[in-house]
Amino acid sequence: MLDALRAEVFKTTHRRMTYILVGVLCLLVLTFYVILWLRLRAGPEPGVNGQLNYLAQLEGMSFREVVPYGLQLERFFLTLICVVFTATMMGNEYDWRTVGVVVARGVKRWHFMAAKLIVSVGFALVALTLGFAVALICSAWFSHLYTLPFGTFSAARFFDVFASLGRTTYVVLPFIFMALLFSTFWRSAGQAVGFSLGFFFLEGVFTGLLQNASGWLSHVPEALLNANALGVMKANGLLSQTAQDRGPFAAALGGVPVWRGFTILLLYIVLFAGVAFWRFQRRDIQE
Amino acid sequence: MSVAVRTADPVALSTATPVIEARGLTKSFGETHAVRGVDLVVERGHVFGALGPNGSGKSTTVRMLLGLVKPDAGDVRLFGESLSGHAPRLLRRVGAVVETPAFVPYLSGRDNLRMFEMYAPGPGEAGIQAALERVNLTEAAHRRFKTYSLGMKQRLGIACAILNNPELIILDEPTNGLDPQGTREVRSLIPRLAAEGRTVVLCSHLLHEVEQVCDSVAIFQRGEIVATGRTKDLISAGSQLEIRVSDVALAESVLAESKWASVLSRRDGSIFLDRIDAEAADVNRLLAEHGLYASVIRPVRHSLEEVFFELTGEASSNA
Repeated sequence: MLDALRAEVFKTTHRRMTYILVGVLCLLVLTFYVILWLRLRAGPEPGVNGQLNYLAQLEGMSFREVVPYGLQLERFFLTLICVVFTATMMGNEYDWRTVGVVVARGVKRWHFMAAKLIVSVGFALVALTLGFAVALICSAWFSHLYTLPFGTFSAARFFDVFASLGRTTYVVLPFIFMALLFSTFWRSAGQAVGFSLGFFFLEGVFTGLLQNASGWLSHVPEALLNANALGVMKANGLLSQTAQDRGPFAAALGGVPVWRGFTILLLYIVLFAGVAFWRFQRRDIQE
Repeated sequence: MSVAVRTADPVALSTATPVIEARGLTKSFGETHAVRGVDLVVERGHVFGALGPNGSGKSTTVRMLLGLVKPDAGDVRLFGESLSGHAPRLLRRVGAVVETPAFVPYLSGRDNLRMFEMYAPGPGEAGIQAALERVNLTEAAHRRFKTYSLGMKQRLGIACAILNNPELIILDEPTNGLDPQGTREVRSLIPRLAAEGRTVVLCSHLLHEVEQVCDSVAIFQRGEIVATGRTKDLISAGSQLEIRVSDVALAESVLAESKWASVLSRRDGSIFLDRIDAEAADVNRLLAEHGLYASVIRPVRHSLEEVFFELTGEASSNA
């Protein structure tokens, strides 16, 4: 297993796409903060709601709120790049036909796949941390610029930061496992990326539509990935009441409890991983 | 030409534990029967040729030997042990290039070997260097794989196959895309690998290639092995003794009464006796005893190509 892991790390660290994806994530976080800053520079919209939204956005950009706000922002982009990373990592093995070479060298199939999953999760953690570092710098700069609160620097806050990074990685895991499943199923990087991202975006569209429906249909999103991911993300940091009710993510923070979100995502992870491993273990390698 | 080669009993070739022993291998893909009841035995230290046209089942058979494709029926034994359940351990003793060599395009040739060596740790940097030198690829080792010509890719594939010092090497069309010099190098490399005590399985549709380097061969046709045995036996099975006499009818009647009656045929004014070219003197004596003096009596040796086309029923122009 360690041998397969070493080989995967070697391939990943020698792959230009790894660095491009991390760079894109950092750039997107930076761009988003800059866009919000430009919006704040334009001043509040007229009326009480406009003022409250302005204050919520201002608070969201503060260093004190960087954990819930920055990670919530990063989650979306991280999911995208992790799906691309995992789907291409596995799918390319089929496209290049290297999967057969590895298996024919006596590498256990589940070692091969498990190594890819471990590297994918490691990539998600590293990318998340670097993206979060960008968010930290941006929020620190804006806090300095607008004299916004930095918050306390206690051990509890540090712990909360690490726990929040863990939670954010966790909510991305189902999408990583889904990308792995699709790449194993379709045996192609392109199709795996397409289906995974398609699922990610279409689920968001359906969730939006179903939330406006009545009766049992309105509860369907609670069994899907995004609503439960947002449920888990609610536990990130001590978001102020103002920022929870307003701001860009106010509508997205649904009513799914953290524990239920965690459990349902775990079920998805187990399901996707189980099917992917079963499929890869049994399927002929003809390419 | 009449070639009556029978499928040899492969087990009879050796009493030692074979390196490869496949029994009743069968594989279908939907309605297509890719491999049907293939029995295969490859002895240690042999260069074994799997010969057949495209789509004859060679590659599918190789994939079953390497655990890439699971047979619908039959069993594969490598080094005396069943592949099912022990594949990872047994395959560590095998090096293979299946069809065109496959590598990571953004890595250099050397890094590709490093990467595969990490999956199955073996001789380390020294072994990688030795493998590159052996296929004459040292100078291009730093270049990315995607910049390689087809010939360089083939050579890297062979380097990867021999990297971990395997006991069994399976090469599927190893000279495909090589220039004449590269082809000659690979063909000279194969017997050297065998001389080191390794067993080599060479899959090819190039008849002269198999004839040159393989000491035993299996001929595939439509998913089945139509003949197998030592290469020289298959070729000699296609050999004949040509006899020309003034009275062909009398000579034919004399030979029809002899022990060679079953291998007798007549064509274009000559008499042919299959697979008895070593008995020319005895035939000549018999004819002389009946007052028949042959103007020509000579062995007609056929190539593996002719044997192949006779067995597969294909026109040689297709080759």
